[in-house]
Amino acid sequence: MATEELAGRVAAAVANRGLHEAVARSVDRHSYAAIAALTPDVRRVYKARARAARLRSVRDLASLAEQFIREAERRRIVVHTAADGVEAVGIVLEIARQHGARRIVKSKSMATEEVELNRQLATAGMQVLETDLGEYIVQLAGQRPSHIVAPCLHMARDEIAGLFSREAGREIAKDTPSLTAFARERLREEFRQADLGISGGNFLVASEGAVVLVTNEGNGRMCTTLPKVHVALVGVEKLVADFADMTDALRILPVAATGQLITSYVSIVRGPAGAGEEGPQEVHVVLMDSGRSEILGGPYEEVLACIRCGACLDICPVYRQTGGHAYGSVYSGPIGAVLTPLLSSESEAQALPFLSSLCGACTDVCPVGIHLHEHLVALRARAAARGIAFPAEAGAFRALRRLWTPGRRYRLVRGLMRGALRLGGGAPQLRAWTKGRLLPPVAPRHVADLLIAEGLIEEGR
Amino acid sequence: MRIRLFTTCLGDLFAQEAVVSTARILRRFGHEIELPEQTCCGQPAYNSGFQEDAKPFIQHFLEHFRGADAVVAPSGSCVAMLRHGLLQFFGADPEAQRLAGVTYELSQFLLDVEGLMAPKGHYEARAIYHESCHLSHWLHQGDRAKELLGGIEGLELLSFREPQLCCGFGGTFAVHFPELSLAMADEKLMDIEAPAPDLLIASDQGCLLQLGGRLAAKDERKPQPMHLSVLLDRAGVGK
Repeated sequence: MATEELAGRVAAAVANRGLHEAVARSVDRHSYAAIAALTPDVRRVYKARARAARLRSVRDLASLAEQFIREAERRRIVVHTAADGVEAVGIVLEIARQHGARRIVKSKSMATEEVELNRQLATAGMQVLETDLGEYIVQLAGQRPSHIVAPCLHMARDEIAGLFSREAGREIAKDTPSLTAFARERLREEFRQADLGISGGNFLVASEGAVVLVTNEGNGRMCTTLPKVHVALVGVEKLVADFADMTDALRILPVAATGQLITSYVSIVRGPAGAGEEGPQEVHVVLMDSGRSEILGGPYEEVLACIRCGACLDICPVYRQTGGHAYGSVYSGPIGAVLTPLLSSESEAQALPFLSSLCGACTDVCPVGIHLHEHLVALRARAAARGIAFPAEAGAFRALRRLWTPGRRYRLVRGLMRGALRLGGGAPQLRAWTKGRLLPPVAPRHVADLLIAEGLIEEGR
Repeated sequence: MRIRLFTTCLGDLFAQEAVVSTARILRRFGHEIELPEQTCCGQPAYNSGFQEDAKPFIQHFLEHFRGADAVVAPSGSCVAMLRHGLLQFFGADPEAQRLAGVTYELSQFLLDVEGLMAPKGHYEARAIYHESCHLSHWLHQGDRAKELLGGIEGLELLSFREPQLCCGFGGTFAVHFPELSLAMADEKLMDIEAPAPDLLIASDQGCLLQLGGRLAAKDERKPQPMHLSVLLDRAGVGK
C-alpha cells in the first residue's frame, strides 16, 4: 500500500533527530527573514498583485505559449515543445548529441529534476555538473534535493566538509569561506570547459520571448553565457504575458524564499549572441507540459500559479520534522503533496496529501495565495475514491456514519465506546493513539445531563 | 440571542467542563441556550478522504440547528468543518448559507459578536496560550483569542517562541503517522520555557488531548491542559 510505504519513510525520517535539527534550523532562518522583510500591509499588497498576475497568466497559457514561441523564434531562439518528461529528455539529449557535448554545466532547475535529466545524460555518457552550490553538494552526495530553494538544507556542515574533502583529495575546513572557495575553484574550471549549459527558468516572458532566471550565486548567468550552447528546460506554467506581469511575482519570490528584498542575480536570456558579441551561439528553450495542461480549467488550476519559493516548506510543521526526502517525490512539503499527485498518476504520489496535519499555515504563508490545505483535503478524497487510503478506514467511517447519525444513536454508541476504552480495547486506530499519549476516560453521561442539572438549558433531548 | 450550543464530540466525550463553561459564559452575557440533538461534525471522515461519509453529519447539523440566531461551539476546528461542509454540501439552500455565517467558535463569538475587549476577571495562574491551527488559519482569527485574557487579574500570560507551530494532532493524522505526530507534540512542548507554567490554554479540545495526553504519558504535572472556556469561566468573565 502506498500509504504504508509513506508512513514507513516518515517514521524513519522522524527517528533521525539530527535531520530534524538541521532542517528546523534552516527553515526557521528562512521564515524569520521572510517575516522581517516586509510589513504585513505591504506583504498583503504584494500578495494580492502577485496572485492576480499569476492567475491571469495561468488562465491564458495557451495563447501565451504561442506568443512566446513567435517572439523567441524571432530572436533566433529555437523553441521545442515537449508533451511529457520523456519527450523533454529526448529533445535535450538530441541537442547535446548534435553538438557532441561531453561536459555539461547545469544551473538549478526543478523541472530537470522532475524528468531525471541528469541520470539520463549520464547514461548517454555525458558528464553533468550541478553548479548551484546546494545542488553541487547534493550531487556529490549522490542524493536529490530535499528543498525547492535550498537543496542541501537537510545536511549538516560537517557532512558537507567531508564531501568536499573527499572530492578535493585534501582536508577542506568546514567554515563557509573555505567551503565556498573550494566550490568556486572547482566550478570555475568547469564553466570554462563545458560545451553545453542547461538551465531551468523562473519566468518565460511571452511578449519578449525571454527566459528569466533568478539566482543568488551567479551560476545561472555563467551556465547561460559561457558554453556555446544553452538549453533551458521550463515548465509551461512559467509563462507570463510581459515584464509588468512578471514584476509582481519577481518581487515577492525572493522575499518569500529567503527574506531578500531582491535576489542577487536576475538574468534575462534574449537569444544567442549576435555578430561580434560574446555569449552562446545557440539558445534552445524546451517548453514542457508534462501534466500541466490537465490541471488547467479544473479545481486545482491555481496550483499552477506557484512560483517555487519554498515558503510553504519552511513554515510546515511536518516538513521541519521529516525533511524533503521522506516525501519520496521531487517536490516536497505542502506544495509537493499537492503538485505531485496532480502531475503523476502513480499510487505512490496519490498518498502524499495525507502527509499533513492540515494546520493551514501553508495557505497563510503562500505569496500567491494558493489554498494549499484545501487542495490537500480535496486530493485525499480523490485518493480515497481511487482506493488509496489507510487500511480499514473506509469501513470505519461508513460504520461511524451509520452509528452516529441520527444523533439519537450517538448516545448509545458513546456508552459502548466508554466501556471498550475502560477495558483497554477499541479499534487499532485507538491503540496507535494511546501509544505515547494518555487518553482521559470517556465521561459517563452525555453532557446534556450536566447542562440540564445546572439549569443552563431548558431541556435536553 | 437564542444560541444553539454545538457540544462537539470531543467536548462531550472528554472535556465536559469546557462545554458547561461555554454555556455558563454565554448565559452570563444574557443569552438563552438551546441544545438540539448532537452528533459529530463529520471532520474525521471528511479530512480522511471520505467526504460522502461526512455529509450525513452536516445534514444532521443543518436539520437540527436550522433557524438558530447563532451557533457556538468550543472548537474552531469543528466550526471550520461545519461552515465548510454547509457550503459545500448544501450551498444551494439559503438556510445553510445563513447558518454557516452565524456558526462561531466561542472566542470568535465573544470578540466579534459580543464585542468584548479584555473583559474583567480574576484568576491566579501562570498560563501559556496555544494558538489552535484551525481557529488561527482556517477561521483566520490568528491569536486574537488572547485579547480575552488581557483583562484577567492575577493571570500571567506566556507565549510560545513559535506560536504558530501545530501541536501535531491533526485528527486521523495522529494515527496515520504516530511517530511524527508525537515528535510534533514534543517539539511544541519543548518550546515552553522553564519553569513550566501552571496551565496550557487552547481553544480546541483536539490540541489539548494531544498535548495533555503527551504530558500525562511523560508523567509531567505541569502545565495542566485547560480549555479557554474553563479559564474564562473560572476567572468569572461576564459576572
